Amino acid sequence: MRAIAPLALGLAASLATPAAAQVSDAWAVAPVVHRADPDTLAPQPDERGLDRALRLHVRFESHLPVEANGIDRAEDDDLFDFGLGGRLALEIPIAGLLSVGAEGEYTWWHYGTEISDDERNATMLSFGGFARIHALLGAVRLFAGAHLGGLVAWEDGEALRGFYAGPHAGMQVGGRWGYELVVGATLRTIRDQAALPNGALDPFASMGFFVLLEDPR
Amino acid sequence: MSRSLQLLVVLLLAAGCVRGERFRPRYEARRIVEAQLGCPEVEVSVVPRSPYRDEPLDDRRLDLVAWGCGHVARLRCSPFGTVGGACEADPTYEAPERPAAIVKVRGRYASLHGVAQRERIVIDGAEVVRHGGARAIAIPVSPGPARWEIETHPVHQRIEHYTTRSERRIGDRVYTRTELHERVVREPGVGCGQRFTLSPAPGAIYRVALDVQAPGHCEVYCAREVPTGAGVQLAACEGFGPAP
Repeated sequence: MRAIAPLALGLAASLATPAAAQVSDAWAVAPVVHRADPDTLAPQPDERGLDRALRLHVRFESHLPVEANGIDRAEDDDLFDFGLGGRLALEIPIAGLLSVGAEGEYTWWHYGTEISDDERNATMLSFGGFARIHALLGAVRLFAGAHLGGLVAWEDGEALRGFYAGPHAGMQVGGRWGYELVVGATLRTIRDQAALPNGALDPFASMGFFVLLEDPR
Repeated sequence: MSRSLQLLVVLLLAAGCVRGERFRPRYEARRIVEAQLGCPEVEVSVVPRSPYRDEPLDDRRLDLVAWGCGHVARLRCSPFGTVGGACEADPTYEAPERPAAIVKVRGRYASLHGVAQRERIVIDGAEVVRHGGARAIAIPVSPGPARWEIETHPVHQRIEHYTTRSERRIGDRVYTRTELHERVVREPGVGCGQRFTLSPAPGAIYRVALDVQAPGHCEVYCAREVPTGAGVQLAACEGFGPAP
């Protein structure tokens, strides 16, 4: 073998080069071959945070009970006022535990006074956005957030416009498909006098499903 | 409106106080590599420990591979690092796509110290770490000159004692509890290393030995295997020289 002296670091003469040295077991080894080839690896999702994928929510919402403004309050009314809605939303996580989304909802309201046999219906379309902060507890995701947007409602053929905002909180379970429960409250400001909840927090509860529209990253 | 805003603020504050921030190497690695490459589509995978990193010292880091936009990055992430600084580039050697030669490396010791020998082989900045043992490691290499460094350290092991102290308040009284713990700590001792250049010829097999006579005193030797009908002969090591 040729050697490099520890101090001079120069090439020593061709020292200790046995011309016919026997192979010892210590040198009888097979090559160690290893390469991290991405083609052979499966991408793994982030271990914390939401799956970073666009998701579609479909929710059914109930507003119970509705104390419709201006109609019920002054009367001894036992008509069960309520609202039912369907909501579509697109949500995208923007950070580990934050998400934003856009939503649209159609709501049908039923209200009136039983005494005067005056049962009435109204419909409302609302469009807006929401933001959520999430906490991951094992398979359960808890979240709290806020929603904000504009609305148009039709009462007795008259279109009413306004805005809405409010907090919500809920939980999700699932993976690519998931189940969601949300409770919250919405404050609406409708410019004209409206029978729909206006100027007061309207509590709601909803349940629905979501599906990831792309492969989670 | 003010009441609903107050409720909203309370909810957001409550959500913001939710703990559970745990180490998340895949998230960290993805974030780092996306920022460095300017690539928004980085995939990450935790990979098994490379056979080129057989570490005798304590090493709980995770190995990750991140790829995207035609690039591949390898990282090592410490589970005890701070968020954002827990991952660093992995210098562990990788076999070339088209290895042209084999270099067998081993340390030879006049006397052994410690509980193990940590051998570190650096080839153009990429390192192989192994338990020094009786057998060599055969490393596929690319042709052409490369700067090599081989160093070895004895690994010493000791029992470290430490105490933890906790306080618990019950009523007006504070109870203090002090616990004595022990853990095994491994540390490198006085080592020895040599640097050289090696320009392997295609198809050749080399033997490189680091002979350690005493702590801090070692020499490196190189020979080339020449297959014969009866086995292997050793010949002079062309392309072997001192480090520049």
